[in-house]
Amino acid sequence: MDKKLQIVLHLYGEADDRAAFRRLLEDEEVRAEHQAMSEAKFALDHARPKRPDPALLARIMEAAAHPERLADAPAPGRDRRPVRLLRRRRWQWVAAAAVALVAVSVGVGRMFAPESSRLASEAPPALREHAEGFGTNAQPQTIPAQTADVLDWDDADEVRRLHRRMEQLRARNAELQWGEPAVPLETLPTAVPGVRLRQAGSRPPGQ
Amino acid sequence: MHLKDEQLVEAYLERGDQRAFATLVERHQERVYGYLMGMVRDPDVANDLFQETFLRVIAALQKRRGSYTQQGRWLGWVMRIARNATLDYLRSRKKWQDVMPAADEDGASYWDRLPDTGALAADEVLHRAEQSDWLTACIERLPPEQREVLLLRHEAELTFREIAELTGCSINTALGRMRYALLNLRKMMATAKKKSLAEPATS
Repeated sequence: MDKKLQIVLHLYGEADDRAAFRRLLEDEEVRAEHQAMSEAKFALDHARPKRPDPALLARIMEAAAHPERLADAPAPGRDRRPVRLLRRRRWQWVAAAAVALVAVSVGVGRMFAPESSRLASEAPPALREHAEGFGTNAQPQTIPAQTADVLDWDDADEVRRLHRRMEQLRARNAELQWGEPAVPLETLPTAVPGVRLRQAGSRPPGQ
Repeated sequence: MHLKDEQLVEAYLERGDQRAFATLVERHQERVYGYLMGMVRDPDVANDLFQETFLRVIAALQKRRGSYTQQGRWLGWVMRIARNATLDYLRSRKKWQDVMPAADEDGASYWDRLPDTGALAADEVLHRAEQSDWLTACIERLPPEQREVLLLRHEAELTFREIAELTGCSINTALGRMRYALLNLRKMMATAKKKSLAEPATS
């Protein structure tokens, strides 16, 4: 056997003759090659071990417990895609969940659409005309009266809170009329006696 | 008490001892998976082949006991099944070409006769973040027949005689492939080291 091949056997502990090994290393070229191979082997020996997916062990053990089930499958040419198929199925579930989420979002969006349309129908005529002019899906005349309340199936606190707030604002502003002339800022009362509101860009008197 | 592989196989076959079979799988999982992963370089495929290997092992033990003669090492027999499953896969993907032993009796391949382009190869692998990834990348760059012998020796821990028997070549060819694999790896390591020393000066 070639000296350089014998060195490989010695490197991996598959040759016992230490004296023969020492004789081999007397050759400078062989010694240099042994050194180079030792360095590569050292790196390989310290490489991190790789492990299979732990779930596979359970499946293999299940097969070992029931080997008769394997008899139904064609052994040599068996489709070797089960693990990947499982992963694909996992992704299918994720995709289905995403579709369901989108569907629910669209549903919630549509729930709000009639509400805004209803508010539009209560707006002054000029504003209502403007809103209808956009050709949106808003059809105030088709909204049933009971939708003025929170929809039965939606018990979200946020929706309830928003609804209450809107009702309060509506009651507070009941006396206001749309289309009234603008009120000068300076005429509005303030909390501090003797101090009037002024426009942000204007200078205080005396400056 | 540490039972030998053959004793565990016997316990599984004769007494249906599933714990014995589990011990076998756990004992050799890194060897089998390390070889598969090194050959196919894809964790999903390696997992599939790992499962396929052990399903074939179970079927062979239960239905065709003759294929496991209990002569020789259990692991060598399992590795033969793992190798067959791997080559089936690689051939189906046209990633494996059987090498005639006479064509490279010294273990050298077409790749070894090419001019040394290690600098370029190492430059690519230098960008690997971790040392382990880098080493894996170097192994991936080896010619297939060298890579296989290296994986069978380092991952599966088969002897060179077993490797020769498994791969259908002479022991000299197996040793020659290993020698070239180690020298090529060393070459890549040396070039990478030179580049890494040069980099701080240039940056």
